[in-house]
Amino acid sequence: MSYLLRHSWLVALALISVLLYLFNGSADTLALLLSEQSELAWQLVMELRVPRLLLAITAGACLACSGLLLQTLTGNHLADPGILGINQGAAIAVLCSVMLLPEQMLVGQALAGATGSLLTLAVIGWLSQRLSPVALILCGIGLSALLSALLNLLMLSAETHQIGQVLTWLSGSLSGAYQEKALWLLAMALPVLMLSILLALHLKPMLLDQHTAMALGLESSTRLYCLLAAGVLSALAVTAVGALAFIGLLAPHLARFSGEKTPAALLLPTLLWGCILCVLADLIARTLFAPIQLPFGLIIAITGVPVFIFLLLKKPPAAKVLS
Amino acid sequence: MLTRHHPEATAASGLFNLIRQYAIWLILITVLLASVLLSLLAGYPQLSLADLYLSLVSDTQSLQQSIQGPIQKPIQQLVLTELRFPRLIAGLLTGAAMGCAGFLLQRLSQNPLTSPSTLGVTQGSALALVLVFILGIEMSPVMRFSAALIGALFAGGLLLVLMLANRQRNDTSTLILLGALMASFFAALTTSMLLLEQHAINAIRFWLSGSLAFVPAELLPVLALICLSCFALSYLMLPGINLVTTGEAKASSLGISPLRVYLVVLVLILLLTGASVAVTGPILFTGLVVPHLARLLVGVKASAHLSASLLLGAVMMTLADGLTRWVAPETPVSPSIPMAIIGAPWFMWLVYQRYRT
Repeated sequence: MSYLLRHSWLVALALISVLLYLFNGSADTLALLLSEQSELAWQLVMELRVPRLLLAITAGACLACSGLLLQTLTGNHLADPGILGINQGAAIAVLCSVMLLPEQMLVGQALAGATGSLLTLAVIGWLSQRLSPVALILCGIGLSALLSALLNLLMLSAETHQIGQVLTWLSGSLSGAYQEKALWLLAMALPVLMLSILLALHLKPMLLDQHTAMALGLESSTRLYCLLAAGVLSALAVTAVGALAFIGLLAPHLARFSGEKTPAALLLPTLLWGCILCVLADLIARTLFAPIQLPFGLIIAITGVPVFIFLLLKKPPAAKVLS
Repeated sequence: MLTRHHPEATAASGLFNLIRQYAIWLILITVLLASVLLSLLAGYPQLSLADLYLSLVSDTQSLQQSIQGPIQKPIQQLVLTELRFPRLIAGLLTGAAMGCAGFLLQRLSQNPLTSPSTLGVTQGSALALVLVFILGIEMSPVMRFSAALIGALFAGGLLLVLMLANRQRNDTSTLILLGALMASFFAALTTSMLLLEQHAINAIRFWLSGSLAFVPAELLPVLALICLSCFALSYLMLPGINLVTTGEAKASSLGISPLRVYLVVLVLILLLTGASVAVTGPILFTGLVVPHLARLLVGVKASAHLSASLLLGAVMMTLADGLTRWVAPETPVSPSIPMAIIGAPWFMWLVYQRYRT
């Protein structure tokens, strides 16, 4: 109970940001709701803002959870699905599938994305056995540069009118949100998130190094499932909002400020922070330069990098390595 | 093992090494000439060797005939003189500039992972150029180069300040990580600015992904001036760099001020990076890969290493540009895409080699 109380302020913050999100924007929906045109305002909120909000929350939660799992499993506090290139892997697969089968279902895209992210994850997992934490991040940066170049190559063969759309999607955008998409993604993300929560309960020994964790009774299958979950979560987020970096890095770090240490206890604040960050970033992206809408991924990158550098300079990344 | 002490065997292997060295230089120059040819002929329209010969011959003739009045040049000739030659020269110079900048950085920092683009200097320079473009300032050549240089200076300075603020953990991997972060930060800022100024996107999109397709001819003299003087200065600075990297105390005892060497070389790096970004836009990974390849080919001796870096940079740039135009003459593929596809795995391999536990 005290755990929930301790994090109640985060829940409150999340609620406030949701309310801010719903009632801010190019149309003053709050005033409209109170006036005679409440029906129009209601429609506006339900059909435009709510799907977008749901997508933002889903993406934030997925990325935050994926980041936490990756950080725990690699013993590296700088790990993030976007920085390690996992999101780009998913993005390539999704783009390929969209170009080959333009009329396919969202589930198909998510499946393709999961294939791409898991393949990239296999490379990262292999490397993480052999490299120090900072070197792993460096390799990840190389991998994402390579995958971005391949993405650019793919985009050359896309139709010209699709390029602008693809560019916006790639830098992380919610402007294409609609009800059906939001609901589908939420439906796909919820079971995976539940599963990750169950898995995270067993991850406490990973705070020590891997061998000690194994000796303490952590099964290697649990680690494998966790990696799979991290990959699928990042793929879902990519299908929802495009390749988005830094959320998976920032959310767990912000959550650690609350004093929690074990992965299971960190999970709730991490998820909340992920949602809050995404919602606020999209709010800023929508309103700051209205009527122009920036992809909110850019807002996150611009604010995320200084925070990352601050974290990097403040303390060395955990010296623990998967050996 | 016994044969190694045999005088005739050492003489033979010495001769073999000599031949090998000359052969490598010969091959390098041949490849350079071949890529120059490819870059002149490939593209839309594809030209033949005969066209090239004719235009070279008639160029000298037309000089003589031009007194008698204007003559109609065939389209192939116009393509060559107006499009391909400026593009070729820009490619050669910027490629060599990136190779040189990468060489200087890797030598000075003694870290094989540094290069202008992995440290974010290239991206900072591109950001400054986009800013100038969006603010609507008249883009004269001088303006263009100074904006790129100021951007590079800013990015390099910021990185230096961050590293100095981080005195207690001055390991090289942190430098690379900080550089990569700055790079993505500048790139995100650039994209946001472009999306905010919608009309700028199309004008600048191809330039931003790195391209030799839109090099204005009036940039070339300035580019040539900056690049050639920087190359010459780099050769002059080689003894200083060698001494400083063997030990600062030793260098100062021999009368070389380490600080001055650092400053001059850093300025050279920024100038070369700024100049190449101002002309071609940000092209990643060339500065990283070229010095490595050069060292593999000609060894670590500084002057040979620098010359090979210059040559290889020029080769890679013209080859990437020529090949992409040869394969897909009608779609503009940026040379930075093949560069990244070769360079990024290379980068990963280097990291893997250096930091494997």
